[in-house]
Amino acid sequence: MAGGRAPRADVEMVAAVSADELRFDAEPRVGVRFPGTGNRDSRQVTKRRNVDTPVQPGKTYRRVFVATRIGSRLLDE
Amino acid sequence: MNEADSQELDQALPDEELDDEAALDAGDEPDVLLDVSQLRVDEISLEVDDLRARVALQADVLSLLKLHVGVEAELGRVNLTIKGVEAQALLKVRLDNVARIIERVLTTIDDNPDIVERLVEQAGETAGTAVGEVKRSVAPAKKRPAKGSRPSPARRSEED
Repeated sequence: MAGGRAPRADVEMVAAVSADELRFDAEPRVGVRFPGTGNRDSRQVTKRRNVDTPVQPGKTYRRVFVATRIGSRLLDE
Repeated sequence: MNEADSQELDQALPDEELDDEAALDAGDEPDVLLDVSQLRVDEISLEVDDLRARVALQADVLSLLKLHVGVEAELGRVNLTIKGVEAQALLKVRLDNVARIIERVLTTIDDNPDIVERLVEQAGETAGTAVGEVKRSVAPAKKRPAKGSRPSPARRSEED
C-alpha cells in the first residue's frame, strides 16, 4: 500500500518507535483486526530491529526500532 | 527473518515513508489525518491494559450499498520500560476509493431509476407490515384491565 507499488489504503495506521533501551516485564498481548464488510485488501507490515520475536520478558534490548503499517482498502468488485 | 523477507519489508515500509513530510510530498495526502509527528521522551514506565486504537470508514446508499472498512490495533496487556524514545504515529483516511464506488452506484441508479422505485415499494410494504404488527400487538393490550382495577366477579369467586 505504499505509494506507487499498490493501491493506497482507505484507512491506515502508521506507528514507529525508536529507543535506546527497551525492556518488557511481561510478554505483551497485542492484536490487529480489520473490521468491515465486503471484499477488502487488508495488510499489516512490521519492521523490527534488535527486538526478538516474540519478545523475551526481562531482557533489555538496545538501539531498537519498531515500525508498523496497518491498512485496509475496499475492493471495487 | 530471512533476507528476502527483509527486502520485502524494506520495500513495503521504507524508513522515509515514516517521515510524514516525505509521505505527503509523494502525493499521499489523505482526506483525514491525525499526525503525532514527533514525540520524544527520556524514559517511560508503561503499564497498559486493554487499549484500542481504531480507524473506520462507513458509507451507506439507501439499502443498495453498505461500505465499511476499518483497522483496529489492540494492546491487551503491556508492561514495559523504555528509554531515549522517539515515536511517531499517523492515522489516515482516504475517501477517493469510496467516492468512486458510490459514484458507480449512483450512475447505475441514474441508468436504472426503477431500482429506486422498487426500493420505495419494498419500504412501503415493510412499513405497512410493521404498522399492522403494531396494531395487532396494541389491540389485546387495550382489552386487559388497567393495573389496580377491580377484578371481575368470576375472578373474585376463584380467589374466595
